[in-house]
Amino acid sequence: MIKKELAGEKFDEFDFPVERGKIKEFSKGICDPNPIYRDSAYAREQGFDDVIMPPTFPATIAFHHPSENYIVDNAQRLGMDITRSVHGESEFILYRPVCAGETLRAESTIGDIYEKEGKRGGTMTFVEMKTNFYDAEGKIVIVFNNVFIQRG
Amino acid sequence: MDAIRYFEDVKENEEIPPFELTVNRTHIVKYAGAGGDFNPIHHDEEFARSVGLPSVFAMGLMHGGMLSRLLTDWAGDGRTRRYKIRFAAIVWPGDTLTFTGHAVRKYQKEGENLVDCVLSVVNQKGEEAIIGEATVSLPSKKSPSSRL
Repeated sequence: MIKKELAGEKFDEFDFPVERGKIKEFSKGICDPNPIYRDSAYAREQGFDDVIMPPTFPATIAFHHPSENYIVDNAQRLGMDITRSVHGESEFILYRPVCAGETLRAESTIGDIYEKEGKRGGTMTFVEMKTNFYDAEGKIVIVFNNVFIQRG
Repeated sequence: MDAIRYFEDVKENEEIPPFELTVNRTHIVKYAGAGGDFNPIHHDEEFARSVGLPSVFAMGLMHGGMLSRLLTDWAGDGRTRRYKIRFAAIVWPGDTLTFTGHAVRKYQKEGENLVDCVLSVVNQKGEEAIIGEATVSLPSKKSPSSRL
């Protein structure tokens, strides 16, 4: 059963060091050969301090989360069944480019948890999760919103 | 990115250059490692079959991440302000995906030159796997150094 009592609750808080090697690996994972993700000298020529995060790089929070298997463990903590659940949507709000070498603070909260009737019958449960990323000065730099859906 | 794309040069309804990619299991495993999504439904064929699926399937953020390249190659690096993707259909190994986008609206807000775009990933059957929207902030010829 999905734990509806978690709606609105703080879920996680941990450091998110933005690392050159992880950015390079991620750029290969999304098949994007852009040197802005792989070559520090090139990134500096473009006016950045180092290689920059691709727009969806905040999805790598799993890597820095203390859990050994972030997605599966989080589903369990939320009471979701991974065999009946899908990722509904992701939104990234990027206040400024973030470069390798920064350490951000990630804070996740659970948003609304609500139900809708599915098109093919059965109830679908929607779980919202928001992760805010703050820089060393405490300024918000990224908001990463997700919606996960469990079929009835 | 070579040439800088200036706000003045963008036309509303301008097409963003598309590309195609056929998904295989290596793409999925590579993204699982890079992104950190080890839900077995994406990499363990036996597990996927045991829950009634024909095979493993891609995590939405895999092709969702691939789609960001369309936008950043067009708009430039560090220009994306908002990127929203809705996962509308499952992507299976062997699917050929077409990544497309259009600029739909240009406007100025709080000193930034913004362009709203719509983005899409469609499979070989014409089903939309991702419905996306994004906002980029572009430099102006009047103030080419406008903030990244």
